[in-house]
Amino acid sequence: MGRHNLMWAVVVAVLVLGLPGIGAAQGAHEIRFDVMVSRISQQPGEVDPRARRLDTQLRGDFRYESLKVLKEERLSIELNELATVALPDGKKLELRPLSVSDRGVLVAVNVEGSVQSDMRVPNGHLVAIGAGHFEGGRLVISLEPHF
Amino acid sequence: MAANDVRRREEEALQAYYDGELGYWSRRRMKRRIERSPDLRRELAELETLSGLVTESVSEVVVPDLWSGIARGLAGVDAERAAVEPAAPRAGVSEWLFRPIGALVAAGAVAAALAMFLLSGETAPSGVVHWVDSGTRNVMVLEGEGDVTVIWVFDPVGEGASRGGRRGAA
Repeated sequence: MGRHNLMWAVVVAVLVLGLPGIGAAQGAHEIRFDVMVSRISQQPGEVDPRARRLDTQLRGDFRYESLKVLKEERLSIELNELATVALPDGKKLELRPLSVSDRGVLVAVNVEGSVQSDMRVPNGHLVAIGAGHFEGGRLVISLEPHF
Repeated sequence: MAANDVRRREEEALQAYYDGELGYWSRRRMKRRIERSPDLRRELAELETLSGLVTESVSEVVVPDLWSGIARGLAGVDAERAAVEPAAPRAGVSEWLFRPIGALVAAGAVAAALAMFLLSGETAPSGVVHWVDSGTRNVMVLEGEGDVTVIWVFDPVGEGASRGGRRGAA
């Protein structure tokens, strides 16, 4: 094998071995958020099975007859990146993860015209935000980070 | 809320802003308030001046070298003890064998205790919400019940007035 061929072989090997590593390093700062937008209402109806966990929590504290899931989104957000979700009432939800530690992801949340919050959310922890009215009920936004 | 309480909370918020302890939204909000308020700008400037003075005074303090004196004293004590006490018997072969084993057992016990302590701490997601602002509306935060946190924003005119035994209604 000539000297140039050997050099090219080394370059190709470095690229093949190195690129996936670089990709993995970049992906390490990506946070997945499962976002679910629901409406709870006094109107008789069923509870959407996708929101069973939310219902279990809300049922003891709030009075409603039905729970309908209006929207589900799975977001992958880089740290310090702003992600926006359009809400059924025309407002928007904004999420900006700021840092990650063993205690959870520090995320800035803005529900337009309703509430802003900074929270440190552990992996898989569910945050439900009751904000705004929609079609005779209340909008409930659920956030669940995975990292 | 009393004027003194408002004043105290404002001072705490300014101090937290200065110390870099505020979250994203609270930092932005505080920055805007400072830009609009000459009083807050003046207080922030005072904090910066005070911090500069403290830093200078700390750097000027001359710390006496106490350790060299203590070391000299200890050396004297060791010399006195060596003169009074007979020489300790040399360790036998069995002792030399068991010392590393004992150390390993002790290290294992410490590692196990640490592991139990660290693993047991994962189920306490308390204090999820660090800061919340809902403007003029009341807001309720329910935490500490399993792995769910609820933030509930009420309508401006007391949504919970007819909620009966529960906390709110749809």
